[in-house]
Amino acid sequence: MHGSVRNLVRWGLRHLGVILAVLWGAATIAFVALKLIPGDPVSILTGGENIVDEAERAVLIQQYGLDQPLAVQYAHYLGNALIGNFGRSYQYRQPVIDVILEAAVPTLQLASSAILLALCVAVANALATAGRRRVLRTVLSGFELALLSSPVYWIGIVLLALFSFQLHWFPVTGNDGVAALVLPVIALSLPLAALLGQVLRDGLEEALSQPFALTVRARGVSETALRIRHGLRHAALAVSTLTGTLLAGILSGSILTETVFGRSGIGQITLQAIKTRDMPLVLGLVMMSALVFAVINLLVDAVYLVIDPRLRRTTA
Amino acid sequence: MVRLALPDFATRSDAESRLQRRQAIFFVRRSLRNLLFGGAAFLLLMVWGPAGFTADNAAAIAPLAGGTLNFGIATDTAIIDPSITGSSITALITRNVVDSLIGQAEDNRFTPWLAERWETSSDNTSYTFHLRQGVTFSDGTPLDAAAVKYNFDRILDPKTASSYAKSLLGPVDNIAAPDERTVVIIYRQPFAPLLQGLSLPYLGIQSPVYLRQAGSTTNTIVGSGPFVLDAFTKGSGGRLRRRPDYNWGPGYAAHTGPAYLDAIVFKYLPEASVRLGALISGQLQAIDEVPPANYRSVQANDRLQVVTRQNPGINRALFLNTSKGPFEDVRIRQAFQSAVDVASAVKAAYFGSLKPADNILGPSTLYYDPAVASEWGLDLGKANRLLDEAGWTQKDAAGIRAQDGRRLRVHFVYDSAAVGASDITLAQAIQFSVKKAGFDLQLEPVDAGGYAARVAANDYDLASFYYVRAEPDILRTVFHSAYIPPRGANVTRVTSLDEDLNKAIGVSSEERQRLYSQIQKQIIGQAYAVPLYVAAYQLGTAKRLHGISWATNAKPNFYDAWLSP
Repeated sequence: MHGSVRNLVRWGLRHLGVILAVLWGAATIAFVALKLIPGDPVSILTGGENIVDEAERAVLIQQYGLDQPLAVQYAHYLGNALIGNFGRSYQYRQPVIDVILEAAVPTLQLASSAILLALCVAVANALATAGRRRVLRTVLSGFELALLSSPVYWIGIVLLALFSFQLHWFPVTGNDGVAALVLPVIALSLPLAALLGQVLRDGLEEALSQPFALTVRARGVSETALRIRHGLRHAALAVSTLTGTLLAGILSGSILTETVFGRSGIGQITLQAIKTRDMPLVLGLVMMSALVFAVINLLVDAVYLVIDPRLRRTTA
Repeated sequence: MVRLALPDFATRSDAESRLQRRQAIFFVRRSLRNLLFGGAAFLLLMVWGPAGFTADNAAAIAPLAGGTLNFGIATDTAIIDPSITGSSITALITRNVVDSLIGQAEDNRFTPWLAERWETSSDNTSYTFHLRQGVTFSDGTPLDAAAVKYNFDRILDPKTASSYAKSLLGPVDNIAAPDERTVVIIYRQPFAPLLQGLSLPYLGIQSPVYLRQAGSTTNTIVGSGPFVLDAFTKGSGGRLRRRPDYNWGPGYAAHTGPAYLDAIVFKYLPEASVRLGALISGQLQAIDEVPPANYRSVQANDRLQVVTRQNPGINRALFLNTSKGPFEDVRIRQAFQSAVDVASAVKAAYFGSLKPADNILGPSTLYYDPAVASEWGLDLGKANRLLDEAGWTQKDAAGIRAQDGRRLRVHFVYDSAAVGASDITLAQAIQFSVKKAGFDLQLEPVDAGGYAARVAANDYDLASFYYVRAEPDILRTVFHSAYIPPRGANVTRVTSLDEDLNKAIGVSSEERQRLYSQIQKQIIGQAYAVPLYVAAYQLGTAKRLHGISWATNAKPNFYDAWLSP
């Protein structure tokens, strides 16, 4: 018992170290990249149509610490980042952390609903068609491939044209209420569901062709019970890896979804931050993405242990 | 089952839609009958002209109070506080939330607003404003002289980092509030453009009580306007609610008292097809930036219309870098100007939805000189003659001129993110047009940072943009040597206009008119620029939206707006 606690602590510490290393690396690469790109931060700070005289320029440069040597700016930035202070956004003139937290809420709603829907659809689809119902399986599999190859952007516009402009079932856009969330969630989840469905069906078919499946069947367990209790667990390992990657990569999908549906969120501010070279905000977003990615991988590692007892033995 | 119902009917009950159908059948029969009279009526109309038959003849009916206007906007704004941003979307939204000291009518005349009257010293160095009584901010505090002074002092304070609003205020020496209803602004040098600047929302008056306690003014604003900002979310839009006790509208407005609309919702929809679809399906009653390619289909829809409002200020133009390369020579610049077929290029790119420009200033700008139009234009013979004179006499197989082995190549650098597809078509049409005279025009798209860097490093021959402002002092921003990049937007890098531009800031109206005429003639005559088109605000609306008026920055005003059922 004592040993397993120590193992758990060691496992946690090791992963924490990895997370810190990932964050440091991401912060450094982002900093260097942004300093290398041409552009004048002062003209960004003051926006497009503006006129800046020498005195104002000096004030702004001093205010944002742009007159200090690069090494000092880097040290400053890292030190502040450690305590969660990423400075003030150039374009929003607000602390970066506030801008990100404000935008994170609608994006979290969108992303978590989309991944949940995608998982449900993929599981139902795989259970229903793995190794049976030839015709349905072929149709769905073809549909999945089509979805996988269509851009989220296009799916969004088609959904809007059909369900909003023609049928009036849902409002065009907005962060207002559940009705406005339906179409963006579907648009974002369809390609995810397609990918997860393919992987899950393959895993399930693989599991069902193994000798243990024959044994279970021989004991008279129903086909449905076999699939859900035994097959799914085998197939879930690959899917959990994939879900982790997809969840982290959902940011790129949310940029497109939020643009088409006019939703506020991380995608929108990322796009704006990059377009306007809002350095503090870009750096904050990079750090946030790195953190999310690292944490999700940690969770996926933990989920492995839950799903597959064999892995528990080798780690412990 | 896909029901292809007309959007407006979809929310109604079945009984109602049956009624609609019956009316539709009746309408068809009636239409047949009317067809017989139609020809005669049409002839009559031709004779009597369209008087009283404009799109707004519904305005003759009494306006209806109530309803929510849903407005789809193509651009987002990062900051809602107009005192610290130059964003035109911020101006559009906050025009309804803050009032200005004075108003400017569509014909450029100044009208009272928060100030009942004002006096200007003859040398334009001192302005005295007498404020209206009984005006309150939406937080209940009074709008008095101290509040006005607080707002302007805040804008002038370097810590506020205001740049556009600050430039509108000009070289202020000090601002005084001798009593509750009097504001005096004293200048270090004569400054005539103040009144126009004051009429813009960027110098609108916000509640000092709110400003003092607000940590950040990025997402909130409290003013004395006809609407109150309920919520603003970047990347999504904003929601305005009518103020029932509003009773101090601008002098140019069509009515007094509170606004007609209950609420205005601004929806940020960057994707043009989504904006258009939402307008057609009736979920929005107005959108901006109607795509030029869809302009006709919207006009053809009998429930919709496109209203185009030409921008005042600097027209979209190609600015020629006079400090280096071939364009150092005035003859080459004039040859280039004469080789551009502006009318055809603009027509090809904008399908007739925008007017070709005939001057550096838009026609609605104060002191626009219509005489300049006749002084330039497409003249291939002139272009060839000038180029021959300048010694660019050799021609290669492709028809490009050369001198001492150097090709007549010029580089047009632009920020690809800031330029729409239509403007790229326009540039290609110009490229084709000037090639006939032997110019090799290179289009060089770069990103925002690359553009800023190349312009600052003087590594370009041509650049292009436009500025919206009704006051001709905007010419100083684009042609004064103080604003040569990276300090500003004088991409022509001319210094020859400084004296006239400086003088024109503070002198009498007659003298200003003379000076600005002279400046416009010089810009065209010296071929510092090739004007391309008069940029315009293109508002797509449902015909049930009435009473839109226009601000002098070519943005729609909603104070008089109302919705018919």
